[in-house]
Amino acid sequence: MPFSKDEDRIDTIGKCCGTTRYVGDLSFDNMLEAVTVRSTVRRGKIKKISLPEMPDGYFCVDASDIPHQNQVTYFQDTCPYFAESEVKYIAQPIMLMVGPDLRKVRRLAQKVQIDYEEIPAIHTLDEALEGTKPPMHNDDNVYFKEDFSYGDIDGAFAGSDEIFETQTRTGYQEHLYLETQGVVAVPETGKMTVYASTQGPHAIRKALGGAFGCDEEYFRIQQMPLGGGFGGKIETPFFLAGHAAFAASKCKQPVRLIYSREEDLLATTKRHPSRIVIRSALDAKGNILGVDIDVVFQAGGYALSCRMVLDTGLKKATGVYHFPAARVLGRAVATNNPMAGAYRGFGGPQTFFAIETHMNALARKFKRDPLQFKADYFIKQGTDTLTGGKYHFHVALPETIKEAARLADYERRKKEQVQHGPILRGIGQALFSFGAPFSLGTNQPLPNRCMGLLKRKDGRVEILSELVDMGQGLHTALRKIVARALKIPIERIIYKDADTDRVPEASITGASMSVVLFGRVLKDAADKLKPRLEEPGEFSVLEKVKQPDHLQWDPVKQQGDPFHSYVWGTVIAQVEVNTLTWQVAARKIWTALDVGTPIDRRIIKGQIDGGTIQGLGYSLLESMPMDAMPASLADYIIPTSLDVPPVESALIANPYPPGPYGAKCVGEPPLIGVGPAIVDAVANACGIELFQLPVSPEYLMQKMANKS
Amino acid sequence: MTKLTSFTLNGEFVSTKSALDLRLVDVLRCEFNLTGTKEGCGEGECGACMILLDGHPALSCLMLLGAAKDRDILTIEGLRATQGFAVLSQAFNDAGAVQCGFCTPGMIMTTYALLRDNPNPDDGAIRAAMAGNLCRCTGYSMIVEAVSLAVQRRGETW
Amino acid sequence: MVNSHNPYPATLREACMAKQKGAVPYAGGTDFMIRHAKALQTGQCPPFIFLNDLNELQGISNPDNTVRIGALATMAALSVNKEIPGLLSQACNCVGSPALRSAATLGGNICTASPAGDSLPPLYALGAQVEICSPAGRRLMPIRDFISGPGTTTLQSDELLSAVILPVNEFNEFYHHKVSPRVANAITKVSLAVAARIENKRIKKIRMAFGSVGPTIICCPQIEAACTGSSLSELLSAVPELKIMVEKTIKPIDDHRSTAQYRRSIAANLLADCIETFGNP
Ligand SMILES: Cc1cc2nc3c(=O)[nH]c(=O)nc-3n(C[C@H](O)[C@H](O)[C@H](O)COP(=O)(O)OP(=O)(O)OC[C@H]3O[C@@H](n4cnc5c(N)ncnc54)[C@H](O)[C@@H]3O)c2cc1C
Ligand code: FES
Ligand code: FES
Repeated sequence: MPFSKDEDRIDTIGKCCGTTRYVGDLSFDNMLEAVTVRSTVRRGKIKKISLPEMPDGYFCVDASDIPHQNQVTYFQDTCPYFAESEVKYIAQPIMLMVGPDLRKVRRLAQKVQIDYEEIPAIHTLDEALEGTKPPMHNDDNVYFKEDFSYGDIDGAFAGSDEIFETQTRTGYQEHLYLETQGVVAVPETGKMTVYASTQGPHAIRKALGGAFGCDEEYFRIQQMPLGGGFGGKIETPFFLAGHAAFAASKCKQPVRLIYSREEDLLATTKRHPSRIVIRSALDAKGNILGVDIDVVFQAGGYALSCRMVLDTGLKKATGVYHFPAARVLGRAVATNNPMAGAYRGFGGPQTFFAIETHMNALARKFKRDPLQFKADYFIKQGTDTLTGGKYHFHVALPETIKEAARLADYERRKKEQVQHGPILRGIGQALFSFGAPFSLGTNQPLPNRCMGLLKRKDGRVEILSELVDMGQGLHTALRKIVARALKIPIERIIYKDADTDRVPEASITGASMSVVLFGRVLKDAADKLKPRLEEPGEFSVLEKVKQPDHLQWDPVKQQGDPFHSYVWGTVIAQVEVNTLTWQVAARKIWTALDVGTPIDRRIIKGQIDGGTIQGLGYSLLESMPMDAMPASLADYIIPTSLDVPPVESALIANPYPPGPYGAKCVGEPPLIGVGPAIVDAVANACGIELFQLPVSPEYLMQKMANKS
Repeated sequence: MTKLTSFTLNGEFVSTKSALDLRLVDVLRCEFNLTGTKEGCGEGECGACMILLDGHPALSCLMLLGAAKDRDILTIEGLRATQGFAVLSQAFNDAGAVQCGFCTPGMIMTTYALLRDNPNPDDGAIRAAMAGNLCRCTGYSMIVEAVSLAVQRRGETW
Repeated sequence: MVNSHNPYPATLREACMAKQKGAVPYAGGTDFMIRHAKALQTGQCPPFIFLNDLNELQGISNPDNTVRIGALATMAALSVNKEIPGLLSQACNCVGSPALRSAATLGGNICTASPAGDSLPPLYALGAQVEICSPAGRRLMPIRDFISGPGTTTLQSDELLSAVILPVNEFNEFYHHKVSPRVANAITKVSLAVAARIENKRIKKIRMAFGSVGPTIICCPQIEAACTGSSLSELLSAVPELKIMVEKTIKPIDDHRSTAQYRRSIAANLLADCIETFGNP
């Protein structure tokens, strides 16, 4: 093993001591506080805005204060910073109140009177498709539509003996990073610095350039330590950064904008709710001839990155299987709800829940052992992808199954008695893969995107990278890779939080690509620096970001290899259902994961544990009813220390040659299989089929009532 | 008429003229610059704002400044000079219990008090003590491990 | 905020006078801070008085075969105090999180008068009396009469809740179950507290109260009457009828936390569970 030692993380001690400064801990002379004035209706035209009398030193900042364009230019679709004539969801930003005393600012914000002409709102994805309400986007409310297929799918259905159909649904999931969103914008001479809790510093700088209509270099984005991200600090920070920057530029004073938890729950992005119908064409013996998958993702008032999330979800929709024929159709629809966006798993948790639940239900229907039943369709090395590419490298799925089953003593537990007094006990499993990163173009260097190493006078080497450590341990992992390539102690490698004046643009940190792709870029840079390490003075080695050589991808036709690499995994979960209350408790979760070469086992365990428990919350607790969006943590329930079972995990070593030292990724995969494994376990315990996340006691009770 | 509110803060006697209706968490963070105490929710649900009030874990977001009068308040800034903190933070490091770190000061306040009152908490007791400290990153197990590690290494610390 | 009065009244009398003039009592503050959160954010909080210095509201004592619990007793103290009937201790230990319990007081829980208040079903079941004081003196009344609706009590503007008085040794068997959306730190969806005197496997006396299934705590005099005098085995066979009686007695609603149907069905299950627990100890 190339990396046998777990490295201490340099950020730990400051975080324990409370000396690590998050954006909310910053303060500047003459700093003003900002509060967002938000819509109180789901959908409507703004008729009239009446402002309170503004005391000296207090300002109101709205769309008219945006120097160039009221559009977050990062997004392809329309997306205003401030609503001007119409609002499309509750809590949409309309203006900012700014001033020195936060309590006074809030009072002023409260006094803004906005009159609306309400328009019938589209509450759910079903309503968006039914078309009974005035459409929000084009005629059909579809922001984005895409399909993939291979084989003779119509023939498969025409020649089938039976069609088996499932419909699964999942709801919103809030990231619930513990630190709410926040930025501070500080105007300086000829410059503005924005301190932000963000996963994409350069992307913010670009967007601000677009909104101000000026050279993006005017802005300096200093990324502050993140109190959690999970994908939630990709899109929302664009808005905060814009808002604070418009205010700072108007008032010529530093402006701090920190969301309350209520605002964060109501107004920030969430995981897309989904409705997925899967139909299998079966022959007389129960073999699958073809699979037809219809995916609907519910986007909110604006599209944001729903194209990308839906797209990657669709490319994973056939799961770990290659069927004789398959068709996948996906739509992302507009509704008058909070915006949905990037979230750990990026479309995968929804589509994997659908396919695994479908396959597990089929196995139960035929009274087949689920793992054997599914094995007939497993992807193998050399199999075609949904998009006509190839699985180029070894598929370690069977090894993960074997290892998870061994850890869990699955075969024995599966045969155990279900009923224990009022408790029903069940075990379930789910298989998953995680393709990452998604392919962007052909294997050409990506224009203007690079990373590098700065050899400093003192002999230390600084990583020049905008990639963000949001707690996942990325800085430590990348420092380890560079230290190893340079053959110097890790203490000599420095990695600071990103400052766009100092580090080049590489990418938003997300989609689990940081180690597998950018770790490789840094390794290549280190290999180049190595022979020059003893040269005196200060100099840097920059390396362009480039996709691996094996990749063939046609971005126009969407054909070829959709992802660089694949992580394979198996989750097994044991649950207990209390028949008195229909509460489900997870008793233990086992995960076996092929992450390629593990760079740091302790960090990986942190990702597996954390991802698994976030997945457990998604499976059992976390729900946001469309008509009663929770505004408080008393109503949006995430697991506490007493709600979580032990998680036991094992890693399968399956090095991925293009990755740095064979590493793949680990950030997102552990969450993917938890939902379907929990549902399978509950289904086995209760003897029913379940098709919805979360499995609330109310839902389970109703299902059990229907059974008897 | 301005009233002084006096209390003990990290071992020192302090007084403030601030309004009694400010939340203690705001006074600690803004007036005393003790930003190690975090606000994660402002509604008593997450534990990021945990302090010790007369030695017991307390939620500083759910308390008015006026209620701190004559009380003894310890924040992470005061705790970090102690031996107990050294043992705990080393254990948090070794067990990989810190990811984003936003929950960490609160977790340490809570678990410090636990270890003071209970020389040998088992897994269940540790989890029960932590039930008011949410962590979204770790899934808790590595934090529980860290506390167990601190129990093993505590010696005569508490 | 303009506090024209002393926010730290030294005597009950002073506190009652301040309250009469509009000051809001602050005990542990855990409900106060949530209820006035918006007002606190904008600096428009009503005037308040801290009750903490009032000795009359402190302490737990045992006068005349009763337990007298000062209104300021915290959930944490009640959870561990051996003088406190186990039924109440257990319920207090289910409130919020450890740090919340060391702030939250019994008096605050009662005066908040939420149907989800966790101390309330045990207090109803145990036949608690509340002691109310005003400049004019003290009076006692049963808790069921004290709480008049969701969030409302019969407390007059110049009155404070000073203590809770519980009879002791009236019951010898207890049942408590709180159903909430997660294991810890969560608001009750349904709860049941039962206190019974069982002699020779026969119910001599029983009192039960459900939480979170109506606008206030729901008492069940008819079910209690139906159970009284029965042997445990008779009760066990009457479970189906008793469950139906529960479903008819309670008045649950659909809200964002749960459904009426769930609450109805689970409340009935809890009573069945209680009877089974009593019947098969
Ligand atoms: C995060 C969180 C979780 C919670 N979880 C639970 C739970 O699980 N179960 C539960 O039952 N409750 C829960 N609560 C609610 C609350 O903590 C309890 O109701 C608590 O007992 C209130 O007590 P307190 O001393 O903090 O009340 P305070 O906030 O001080 O007072 C509450 C109200 O009663 C009045 N009052 C207080 N004492 C007196 C008195 N002696 N005389 C007259 N009026 C008085 C006050 O003016 C105020 O209106 C929770 C609250 C929070 C914030
Ligand atoms: S900030 Fe106080 S509990 Fe969350
Ligand atoms: S480490 Fe991020 S919330 Fe605990």
